Amino acid sequence: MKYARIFTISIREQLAYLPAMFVRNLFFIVLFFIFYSLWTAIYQSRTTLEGFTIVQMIWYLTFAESIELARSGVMTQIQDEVKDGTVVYGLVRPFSYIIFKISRAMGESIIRCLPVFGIGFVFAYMSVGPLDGYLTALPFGLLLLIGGLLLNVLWQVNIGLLSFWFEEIGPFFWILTKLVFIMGGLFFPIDLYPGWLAGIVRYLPFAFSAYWPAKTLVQFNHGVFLTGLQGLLIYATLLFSCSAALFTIARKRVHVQGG
Amino acid sequence: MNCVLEVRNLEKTFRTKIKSSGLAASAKGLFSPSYKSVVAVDRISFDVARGEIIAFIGPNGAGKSTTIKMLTGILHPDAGDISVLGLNPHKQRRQLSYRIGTVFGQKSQLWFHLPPLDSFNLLGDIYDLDRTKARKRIAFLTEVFQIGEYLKVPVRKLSLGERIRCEIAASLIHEPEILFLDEPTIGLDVIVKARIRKLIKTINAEDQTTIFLTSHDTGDIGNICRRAIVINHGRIVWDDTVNRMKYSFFRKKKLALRLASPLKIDMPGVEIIKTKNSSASVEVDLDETDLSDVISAIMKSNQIRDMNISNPPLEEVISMIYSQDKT
Repeated sequence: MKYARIFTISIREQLAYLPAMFVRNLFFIVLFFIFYSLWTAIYQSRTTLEGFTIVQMIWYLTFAESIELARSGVMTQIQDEVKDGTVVYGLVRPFSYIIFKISRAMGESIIRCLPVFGIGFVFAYMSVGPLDGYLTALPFGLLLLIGGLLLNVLWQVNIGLLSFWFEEIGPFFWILTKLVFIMGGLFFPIDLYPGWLAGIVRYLPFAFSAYWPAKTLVQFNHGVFLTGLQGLLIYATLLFSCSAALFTIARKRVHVQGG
Repeated sequence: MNCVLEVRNLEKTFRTKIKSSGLAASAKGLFSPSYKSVVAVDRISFDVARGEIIAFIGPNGAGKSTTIKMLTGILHPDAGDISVLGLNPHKQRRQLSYRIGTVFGQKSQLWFHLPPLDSFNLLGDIYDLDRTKARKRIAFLTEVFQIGEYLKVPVRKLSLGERIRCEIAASLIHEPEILFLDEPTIGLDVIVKARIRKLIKTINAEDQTTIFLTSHDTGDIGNICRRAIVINHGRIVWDDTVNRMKYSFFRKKKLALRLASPLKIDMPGVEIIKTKNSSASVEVDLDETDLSDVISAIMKSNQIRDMNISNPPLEEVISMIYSQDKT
């Protein structure tokens, strides 16, 4: 109950920024236009590419980007709190610091996702037209989209907690974002990799942040959805357990002095 | 005495990394870092009774915050025993958190872009209060703290004084038995300070909430607290009433006089600090002479038109305690 309230209050706080977010995210029209131009050129001599039509490809990209560009600032928040020692003040309240951070970051992510998702929808619709089966796939795609956002939050929480051991956690995050770019299916579907590589990359955690939710939307069937859902549940559980373990160890290192 | 806080031989030492200057030293530090130990709290013991308002003071780095963090379960002591409301703070931190409130100057518990009412409701949920009870409590605190007009204004639009009132109210939503206040009046103007002090006293009287206050502002200590614990270099150097602190540490009184003619006095322990026409300011050392003898001596040779006897300011007393401990 308390975490649901944290989640909703975080949404309310983010809503204060929604108009500003829309304006800021207008930049993504440029990004989507570059994707569109690139893929239109690639599709000039063919109608499908590894089973994806140009319509599916553009919808795929706008959906995948919505998840990735909706990142919350939870990693930086944790880093700042660890550095200035205020992380300890969360310990005098009857809640889990980790679940508090996740609930808050999910509220942030969902609201940040809205403008990108909306802009992507309008852009894809206007550039390549409607996607067949969109409405059927949407509820399933959205569920995995939320899962993708959760995975991103959990990655960030884990990296943020590394601040207890490392003064600068930027490099860890840099590596993660590059892995998501390359192996998460952010710029193109993983299906475009050679068969043996796609077979591996498809089941790595990075693929469940963007590839599986976006594929569920554009090539919906229950098998794709269930694979995406299972992977999300497994990796979310692993990452959550990892963050809980990290925080338990980190708490023993807390020796904030001063005041 | 019904003790809510019992501390015995509490100790905490920190190990901090030493970073030498120069490239070679930095490279060496990567492979064989050197550390130094800093004793933050050194075998302190004290009790606090239910309903007390106690000042826990000391200069920067004296060990105040470390002690509070151990009392609230944030830090684990190296040695000694702590009992807060019969609980071990570090082992029963979650249980204790339902029974204590905290206001740390550095950390706001209000959501910056939302009105305080949202934060109050959230805190009601965090402390597992049922909605009706939370609503009643918020209504009560709104009235006591007179914050009705700010409840629906985003926190970022409140002045510092208004925000602090809301912060303290927020820390009391779950009716804590002990309230830890860390510098509650820092940065506030005199009028708002006075108001916050009055509110703290009101809450203490209404709810019998024990107040554990740290502050560098002697006004907070003198106006709110009856008892003060002074900590320096990790050790308790004073634990008694604020009034006794003044009398024990400062055996001097100041006399401000307006006389019929210029003052002339030569007595042991009497020092004329300032004279201007027929006004004079005199300091009397009570260890050397009685105040009544000084006044009698003045009255014999002069006519007193007005007189004011004052205690030394608390600030001076506290500075003296700090400096005595240093020597």
